[in-house]
Amino acid sequence: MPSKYAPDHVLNPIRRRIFRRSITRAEMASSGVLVAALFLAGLWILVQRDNFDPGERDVSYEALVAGSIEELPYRAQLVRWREPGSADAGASGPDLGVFPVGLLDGGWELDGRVETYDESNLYEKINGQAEQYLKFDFRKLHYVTLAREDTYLTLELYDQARFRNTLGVFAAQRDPEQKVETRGPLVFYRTAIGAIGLLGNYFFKITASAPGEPVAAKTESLLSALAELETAGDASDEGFSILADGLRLPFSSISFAKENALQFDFLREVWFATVGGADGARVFLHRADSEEAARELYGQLVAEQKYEHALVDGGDSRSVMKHEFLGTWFAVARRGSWLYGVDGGASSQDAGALLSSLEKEIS
Amino acid sequence: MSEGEKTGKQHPDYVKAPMSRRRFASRVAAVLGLGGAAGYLAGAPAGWPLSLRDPTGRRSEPVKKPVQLGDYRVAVRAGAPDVTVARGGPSIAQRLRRALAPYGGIEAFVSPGDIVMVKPNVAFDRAPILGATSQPELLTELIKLLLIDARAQEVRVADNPIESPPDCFEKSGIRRATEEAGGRIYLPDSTAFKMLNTPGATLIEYWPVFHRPLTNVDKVIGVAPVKDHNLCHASMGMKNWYGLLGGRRNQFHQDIHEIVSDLSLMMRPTLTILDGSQILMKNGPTGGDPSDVKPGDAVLCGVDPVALDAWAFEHLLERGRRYPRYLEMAQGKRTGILDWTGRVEEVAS
Repeated sequence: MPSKYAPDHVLNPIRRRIFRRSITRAEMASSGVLVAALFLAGLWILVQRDNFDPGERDVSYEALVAGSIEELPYRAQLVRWREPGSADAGASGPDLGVFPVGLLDGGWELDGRVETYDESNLYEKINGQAEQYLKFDFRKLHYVTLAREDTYLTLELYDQARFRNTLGVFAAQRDPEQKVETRGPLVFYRTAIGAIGLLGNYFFKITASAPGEPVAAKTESLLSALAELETAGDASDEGFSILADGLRLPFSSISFAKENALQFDFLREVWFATVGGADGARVFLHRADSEEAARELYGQLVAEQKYEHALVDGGDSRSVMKHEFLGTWFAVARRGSWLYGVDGGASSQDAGALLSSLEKEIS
Repeated sequence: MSEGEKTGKQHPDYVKAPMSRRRFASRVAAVLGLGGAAGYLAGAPAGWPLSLRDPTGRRSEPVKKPVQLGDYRVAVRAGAPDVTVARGGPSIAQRLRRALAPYGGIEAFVSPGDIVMVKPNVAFDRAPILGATSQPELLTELIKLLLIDARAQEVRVADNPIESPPDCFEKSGIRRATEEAGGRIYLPDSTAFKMLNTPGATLIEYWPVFHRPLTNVDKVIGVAPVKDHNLCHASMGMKNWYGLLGGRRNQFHQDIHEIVSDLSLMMRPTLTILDGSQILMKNGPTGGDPSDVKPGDAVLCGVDPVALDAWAFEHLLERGRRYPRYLEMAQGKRTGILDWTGRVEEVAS
């Protein structure tokens, strides 16, 4: 009978199991233990992999920040490329994008990099508020955070494509009682922690974490720097000029409705200005694409207003009517491609006079 | 070369094993059966029974079983109001304690050893002065109450801002407030979400949520500011749960009232606290001008999220009784009752 010990086996003299007729209990037990351990390890992985609970692992806040959804490498400041060997090689500062160079004076430093958002991802920055800007032809948001000791300050610069859109956002957000200041083409009002304003196609917000002297000084400096910013398109608008320069209405009284003007969904892109305080009448004007389009809008507007107004004087190009419940006067007229009118007039004379003023400027 | 091959003789250990016809036939049948079964499994169209055919290669993707959130509500003592309002007094901390008093304090909601998840509104990287986020002082006081008075095992503070979460927690002051009081912040990362099944929800019946901080929790408390909202008119306690949603949740803005009312089904919190200290009256939800913020002196606690929001909408945002549509829809989904009359207790200072 051949020995069960193979002569050529060095480390394990016992034959391989496959050639043996019996396996010892110790071997069976050790195999069982190994299989059970593997099974338990697999089970633990299956259960834990999808049930990670940092509370049980004491993960530090810093570690959580490192693993958070934000991709930290993309927050590093960008530095403008300088050709090696050129005179200013190695002397470049951080890339400030469209922001003026004066952004970093007074001991303020860039916190992160300049961020930009377009209409596809604006919600990432101002989720819930984005729609207000998108409604006014939003193009791009340039966003930067500055820090100085424990204070931080953000500058939001919204490119709204045209002055009329910028004014629309500005008027929608501004408290009517806020005092509006101008500095060249810059129009703004101050807040306790910064300023909010517009410049051509840009609407901006300067917002600090807390009020204080450094914040006030930095706001002042930023306003000066923003006044030098290069803008795209016109700094004004034909409709705005009629109201501001022609009728000499204050800037703070003028607004622009992109859609749903006078609560009619067919009436879009309308300029408004209040005359004689917040409770006074409003004049409005809109330039249609053509004379025919203005005629059609005029007809629609008169027809809709008749539901709540009594027609006092109606014609093909000019109508005056009185609100049946409020007693206020509404007048609307058209000339060429212009549609214009008065809403909330105190009397038919007032409404007529305002309408005549508008007609004079339009012609 | 083996010994047999060298000598040309059969190896001495060789034993011939003759095979019977029956055995041969049975083995051939077994091989054919196995081959046929394997061929069927591999080749049968995807819809056939036991078919393993995978033309798109997606059958091997792991199927994650959706989870469901528990009902975190607790029974309050008989006669306790559905909403309490504490106004005036020297501090937020004192107002919070007063607002909880009609229920019997925080201990009425949280038992010793409980793990509690607190959900503040940390949606933006804005300073507390702008009223766009929960006030840190209220959070500090709440965490202290939970850890000291109620002897909670752990207080987790979590939110999932779309913006940079670390920035939002830092600049809103929530990080400092939480750490000073002894709470633990949970930040979202890509593995922290689970597919949640919310039966009865219209838009989020299956939707990923920031689930990690909810792992093994016993109680959930919402702490929300009261603020204007550009799309849904007001963001208060119910809207606050929007912050737990993952995925491309901005698409819900198309039907915001439906989604907010769905949130009342998704989360049945133990308690909701509304902070009427810095009320963002306009230009919400982000704000930007402190003059849009009205300083208030109220802290509200409630176990009916619909009545709680309705009262705040009327009295803190001062918008009258033309409530946001989502409150009526939430009432329709039976998550609360809009009419707060006789169910609110104002606690004097």
